[in-house]
Amino acid sequence: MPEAKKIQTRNSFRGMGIKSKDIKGILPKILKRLFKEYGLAMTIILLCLVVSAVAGITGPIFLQRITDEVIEPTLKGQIALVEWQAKLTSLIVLMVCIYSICLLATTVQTQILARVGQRFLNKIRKSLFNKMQSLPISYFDSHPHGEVMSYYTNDVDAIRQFVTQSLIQFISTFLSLTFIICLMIHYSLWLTLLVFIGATLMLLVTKKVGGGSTKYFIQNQKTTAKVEGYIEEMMHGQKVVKVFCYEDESKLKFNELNDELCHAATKANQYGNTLMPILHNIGNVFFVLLAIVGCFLAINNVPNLGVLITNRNNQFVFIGMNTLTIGIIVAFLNMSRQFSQSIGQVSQQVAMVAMALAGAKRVFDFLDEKSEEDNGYVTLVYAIKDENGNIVESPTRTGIWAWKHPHSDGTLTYTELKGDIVLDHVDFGYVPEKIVLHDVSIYARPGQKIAFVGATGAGKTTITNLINRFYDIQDGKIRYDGININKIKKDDLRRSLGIVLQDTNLFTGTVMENIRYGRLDATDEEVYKAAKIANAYDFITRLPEGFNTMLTGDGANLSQGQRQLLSIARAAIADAPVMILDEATSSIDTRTEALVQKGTDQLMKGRTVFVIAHRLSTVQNSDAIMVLDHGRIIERGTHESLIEQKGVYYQLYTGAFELE
Amino acid sequence: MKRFKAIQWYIQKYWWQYALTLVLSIGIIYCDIKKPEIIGEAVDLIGLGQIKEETLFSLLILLTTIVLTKFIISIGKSIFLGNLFHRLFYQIKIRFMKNILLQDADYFTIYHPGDLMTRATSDTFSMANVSTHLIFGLITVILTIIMTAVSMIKLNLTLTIYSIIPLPFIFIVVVIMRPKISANWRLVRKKNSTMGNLAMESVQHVKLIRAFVNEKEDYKKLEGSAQECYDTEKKSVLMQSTFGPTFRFFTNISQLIAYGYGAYLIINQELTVGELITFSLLLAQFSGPMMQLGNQVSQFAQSAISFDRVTEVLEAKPEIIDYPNAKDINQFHTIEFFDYTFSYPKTRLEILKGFDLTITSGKSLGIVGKTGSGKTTLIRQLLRRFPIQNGNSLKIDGYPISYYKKTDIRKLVSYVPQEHLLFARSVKENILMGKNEESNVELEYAIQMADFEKDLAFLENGLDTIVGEYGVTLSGGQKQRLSIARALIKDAPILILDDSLSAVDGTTEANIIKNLKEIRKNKTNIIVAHRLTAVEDCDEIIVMENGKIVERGTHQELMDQKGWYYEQYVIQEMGGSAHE
Repeated sequence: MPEAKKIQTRNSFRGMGIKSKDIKGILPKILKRLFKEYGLAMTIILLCLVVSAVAGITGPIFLQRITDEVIEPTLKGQIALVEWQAKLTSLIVLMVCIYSICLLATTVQTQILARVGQRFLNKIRKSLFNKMQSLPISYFDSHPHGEVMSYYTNDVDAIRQFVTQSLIQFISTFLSLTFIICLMIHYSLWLTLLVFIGATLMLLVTKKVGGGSTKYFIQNQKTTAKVEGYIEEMMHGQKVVKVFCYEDESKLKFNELNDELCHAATKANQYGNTLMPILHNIGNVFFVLLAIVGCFLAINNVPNLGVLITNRNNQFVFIGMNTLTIGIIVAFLNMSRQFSQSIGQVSQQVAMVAMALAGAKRVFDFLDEKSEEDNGYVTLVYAIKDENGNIVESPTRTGIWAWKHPHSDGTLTYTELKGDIVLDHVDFGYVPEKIVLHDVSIYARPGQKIAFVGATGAGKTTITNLINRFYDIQDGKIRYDGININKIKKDDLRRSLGIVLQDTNLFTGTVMENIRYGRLDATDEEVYKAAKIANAYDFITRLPEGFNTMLTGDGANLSQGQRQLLSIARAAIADAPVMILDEATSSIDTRTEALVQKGTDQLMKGRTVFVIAHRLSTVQNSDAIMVLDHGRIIERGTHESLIEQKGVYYQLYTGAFELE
Repeated sequence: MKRFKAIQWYIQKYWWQYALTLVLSIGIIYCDIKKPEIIGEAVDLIGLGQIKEETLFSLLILLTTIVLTKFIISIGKSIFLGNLFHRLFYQIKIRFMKNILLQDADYFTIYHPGDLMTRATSDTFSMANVSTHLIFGLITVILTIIMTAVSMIKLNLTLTIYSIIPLPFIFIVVVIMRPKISANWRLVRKKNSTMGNLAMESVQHVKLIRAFVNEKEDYKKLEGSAQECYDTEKKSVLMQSTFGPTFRFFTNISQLIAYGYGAYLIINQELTVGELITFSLLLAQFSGPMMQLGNQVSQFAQSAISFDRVTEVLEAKPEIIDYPNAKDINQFHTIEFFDYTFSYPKTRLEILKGFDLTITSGKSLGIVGKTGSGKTTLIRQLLRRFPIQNGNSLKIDGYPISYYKKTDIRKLVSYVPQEHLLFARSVKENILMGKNEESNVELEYAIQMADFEKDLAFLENGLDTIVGEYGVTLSGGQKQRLSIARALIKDAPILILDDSLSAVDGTTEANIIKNLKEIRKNKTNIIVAHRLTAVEDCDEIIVMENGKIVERGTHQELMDQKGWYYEQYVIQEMGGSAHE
């Protein structure tokens, strides 16, 4: 399985750089979670592990007994035919029983574990998803998307590996090693000592050789990444390569990188490939040595030391067990094989475990992140005007909304949603120390169109992000229909604001689903209507499958203009009384541009609108234009008054000054 | 096995290394078999109480020699095999990339870059892996099984038969289960990547989700996907986890039979204790390969597809091939299209229909028209990106374009594409990609002329700033200006701007157009644009619609015609905000 192998090398590579402080305390946390949520299942698993570990050492015991109690005496003529037959049969029957129990235990354990492990993962994934929905927007500003993504993919995967494989392997290896060591000590202290020396040597060599190869593995990994990056670039940049006749140079550069990789890989390979034979053969050398020393002791009738736990006071007592029998040697040979195998398995897993724990730490840290807070209590409700002109709550959609405002004295007031937005001396910074908006005041009366103009980074988008409370202001007040927006429930606040983002952000799904995204309970008819308002209807019906056309990769199969129109349709269906329009910067052809323009004009009718304009042509008919510079409003007024002022706006308009 | 033809050259070249590795593999197996025999012998001698110091000593030396020999052989084998693998991987990749670079543009419309990427990396990896590690793995396993079986039979035939009865079950279980498990794992991977994509969208679109208060909906979508992953994964893991216990059970039973029946044979004096020990050690070596055999057989089947995928690319032939005596060309007088018709390969829709046009050296040409009218397709003909359908309909200086070397034609043209492809290196290197020996344009001058100078001030390390995927993200306008600088430095007889001024504002556009007049004096410029101000000054402007020229002339002539050009011009003059 080359892929698995690749992942494994990559994993072990990742595991190497992990320091112990990164993963401290994570293991108990995982175990606690596992036992808390799946206590019964985990107990059964542990029991099964003990059973199979015990069964594991019955093999050597069986060998010892069959040699010493059946074969030897019979050969020496010490017991009768009937007796040895009975003994042999009973031993074999016993073993078959034990092995069957062992099979049952392992099957039960693996099946339960598979379920527990998967359920645990599923739960982690779901809590990750849930967390993501509740984190404040600022979290996503300070963490690259790729990083957040890696929690879902790499880290969760590492945890899976750990829970379903490494953890159990560790426990079972630990158990069987304990039992094997006990049995070894029971049989012979001398030989046990020998096995221990062997194991220590094995570990030392692994550490030595493994440490030396790390360097080459890292280098190998780095060059691999380089080569892959280069290939990727060449594949995507074919056009430019061809146009500039760059083929030969590409080949040359590729050969160079590939050479480097081949070299690094060969080095790593030579190091890595000596490690395994060495490890394997140390095991072998000790196997042989064990046989020889054992035989030697047996021949010379050297008194053997074994340990038995006596019934009296449960004390360890040294007992001389006559001489070493052949049965014991045979059992030891068998056990030393198990011993070195177990150690080999564990040492292979170490890097993987370190990686899993580091991944788990990142995941848990993510889950511990502070969620977005919402102390709002003013909610948005459907409303209707009674005969006296008073606002009354209505159970169905009426076209009128009202803010339902409970007061501390227990009374309720309803305020009609009109779309009157006031920013009153607002200061804001993404971090408290660095204020990016200074003393911004804006008054938007219902139905007015307010435009923001200014260079990239002047703070245009930031202002709109304050209105929908993606971020909270540092100082000043924002009022919505006279209500401080801090008092409004965030969901309801956002529902009352329609938004067209600069990046169109389409989802994988049909065109229909993408438009309906604006209001999930909209009927098909309403979707069609919204598409018509946004001027998108014509092009959608001309798509191969009309409204059912699947969009993939952020609408890669549509043109920029078409994506823009869909995003407008999505805002149109939301039918919110206040609109925020972040105009697209990238160019679209003039005809589409006119279409988009027409769509937005339709959408703006009768609503309070905030426009972030990149083309001055769009803002001329605004009720007020705010010219922003470095987080301050430096000019404000209508198009005509600003032209008269002959300030920055005038310069922009006449082209003497550039926006970008 | 037919597939191995694709790497025949390699095996032929390095056959002796393959042969040597095979010999070493056999040596290792031999050592593995010899060791239990010596141990058995020793045990027998001790059991009979006949052992002398010197016999024991010689056995010790023999054992140590075997262990050491095996040690050395193993290291040698893994180094040889590793080198065979890495060298093959390396050479396949080089062949792969070489052939990729030879392909026509057309090839990249049929094969997605992502797909080619996988072929270039993981498929070549698995191809090299199969041809070295896997094939030797298989050979070793088969030889181990055969040689061990022979040694066991030599000890006692019936004992061998009885004790290996449970082992084929391992093989059968693996062979039956493996494909199912693999198929299911593939499904798992697919579900995982679907979930990954969904999660990616949620992260990228987080603002939109919040703005439309669709958090719950989004969570439900993700949860559903996670649940699907859970279900398929669980199935896979459950299937997989039956392996271990089954394997252990059958090996244990097999050992049990060996000891039980072996004890019986010993008592009947048909076998010695030492022989039984030898036998059981051999048996322990026998069951592992049984399982590996099953694994390796199914891995072989799986890797076959990688072989096919790589071979397909290696065997691809470009369609545009130069004639044996293709002409050189480095200057031109006229390029003529006569009744030129073109449709993209494997499609029937004609993009250019009976098209007539003459491009004269030193004159500038503006091309305008609606999206989809064939402007870019026309440009692509000049870049010789597709096979010409009718040889005589496109001529340069009186000869069909196919008479000339294709690299020469491409050298004739300097091109600024619509999408701006930057490579992950410094700004300077990106621009210098365009420079060749014949170019007389200096770096600074090209930058200045492309109006890119002002952007440099904003870049942290100026010209040395790394851009592209791993570097600084440039704005659309900056990318366009950089692309233009790259094209200007090439200083080719023809410069093509394919809608390359769309992301720059009016002032910058005017600057660049003005600069072009200076730097491209007496050279040919072809400008494709949506904004008509970009082509206003051209010597000739053509308006395209549905693959035909519907209007042609100078700006003034077209304005007088009062057709599409006039209409657009008026709309754009009014600032684009005018209602239709």
